[in-house]
Amino acid sequence: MGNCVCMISKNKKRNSKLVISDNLKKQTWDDLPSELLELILSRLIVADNIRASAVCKIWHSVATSVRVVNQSPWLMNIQKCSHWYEIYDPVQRKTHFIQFPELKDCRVCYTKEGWLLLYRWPQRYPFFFFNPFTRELIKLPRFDRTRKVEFAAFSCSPKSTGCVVFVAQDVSSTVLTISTCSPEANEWKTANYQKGSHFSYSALPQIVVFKGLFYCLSPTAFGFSLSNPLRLLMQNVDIHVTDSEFVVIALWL
Amino acid sequence: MAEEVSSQMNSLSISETNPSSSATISLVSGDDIVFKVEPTIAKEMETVQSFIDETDGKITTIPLPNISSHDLPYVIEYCEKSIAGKITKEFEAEFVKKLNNEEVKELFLAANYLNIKKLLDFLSQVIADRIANKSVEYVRRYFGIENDFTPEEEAKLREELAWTFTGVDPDDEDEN
Repeated sequence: MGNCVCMISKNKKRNSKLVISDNLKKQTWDDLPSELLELILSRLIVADNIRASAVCKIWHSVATSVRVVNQSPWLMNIQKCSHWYEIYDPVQRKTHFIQFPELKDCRVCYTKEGWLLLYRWPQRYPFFFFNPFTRELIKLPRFDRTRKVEFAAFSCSPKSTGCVVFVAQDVSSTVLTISTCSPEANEWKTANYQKGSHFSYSALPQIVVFKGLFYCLSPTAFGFSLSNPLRLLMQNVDIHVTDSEFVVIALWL
Repeated sequence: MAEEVSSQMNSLSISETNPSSSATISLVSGDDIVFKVEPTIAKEMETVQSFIDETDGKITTIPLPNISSHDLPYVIEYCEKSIAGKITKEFEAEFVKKLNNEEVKELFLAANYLNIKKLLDFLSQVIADRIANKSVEYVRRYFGIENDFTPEEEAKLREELAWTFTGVDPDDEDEN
């Protein structure tokens, strides 16, 4: 206790425990200001935060307001033969098992910000978003199913403004179709694009979204001819060839 | 009891005129126990500092009706360590080992009342650690919180968020 001196104020004997609880103007947790609750709940990992949100209504509002979305990625193991999915948190080294009947027969096209972009052929509305943490499901407009989808991606959470979904389909050996839409849209915008002579994708391209642009990176030679300026067909799309090794497809959001 | 505190304060204020004791501050707990501390401690306790500032340093006996004589020594110990620049991980681990759940909560409220930022941050982490991986029922009991969800609302929450409700620590690990 260092140099602090303690003395009892009166020469009266006290049953200290009892007196303390009788006399103090106690602040309880029920009337705890939400800033204080925030201090605690903001330090919880997401699973603890979600459980805390089920404690009572005030905790629910505080927990959801401080829930950390921008955390390190988790791994999701999709098992073909069962509805059980394995979700692994590498930071906590913890595995969660959970059933997602919503994802039956689906292919995961892309993931970002806790959302999955899924494709279920041959339905009329094959593309949809699914959030495994909240179980929210967002359908995308009806889509032409006659051609195979090569790759698909999206720019940001479908709950935020400016989300763009991007789908590429092979039409023929010389034509590629690129479709875009937003979660609020009623239909897809589609444009055909002439492939270059050296166009190929022996491996699926990696799609990276950075500062509002989709970058399609392929380990193999992968190019588009610029003979057909896509900008004329679809106002918000621009295509650049940077070199013979990879292509940048830019969507101006 | 309020009278007791004020009479106590009066007698102390008088004693403050004695030059030998003017170097210390007296903190009076809610249950009328006086703790004499170095004035530097006020640097850690913003509430105390502003009390001193408002009275131009004339009054050095400060009533802290929200804090018990059981909790105040812990607060003082932490502040003294902090002033000495000796808050280490080891100290914090030892410090928190001594505290049961009830004491952690009391100190958290005391740290808020006295506006001691470091202690508040430290204790919010301690509380977060103590409710980590615990069931919802455990957390409600821990804080004495009434569940105000309807059974339907709670069932819906649990269904949506089912994955977080598995694999928590068993509730019988309660300390209190």
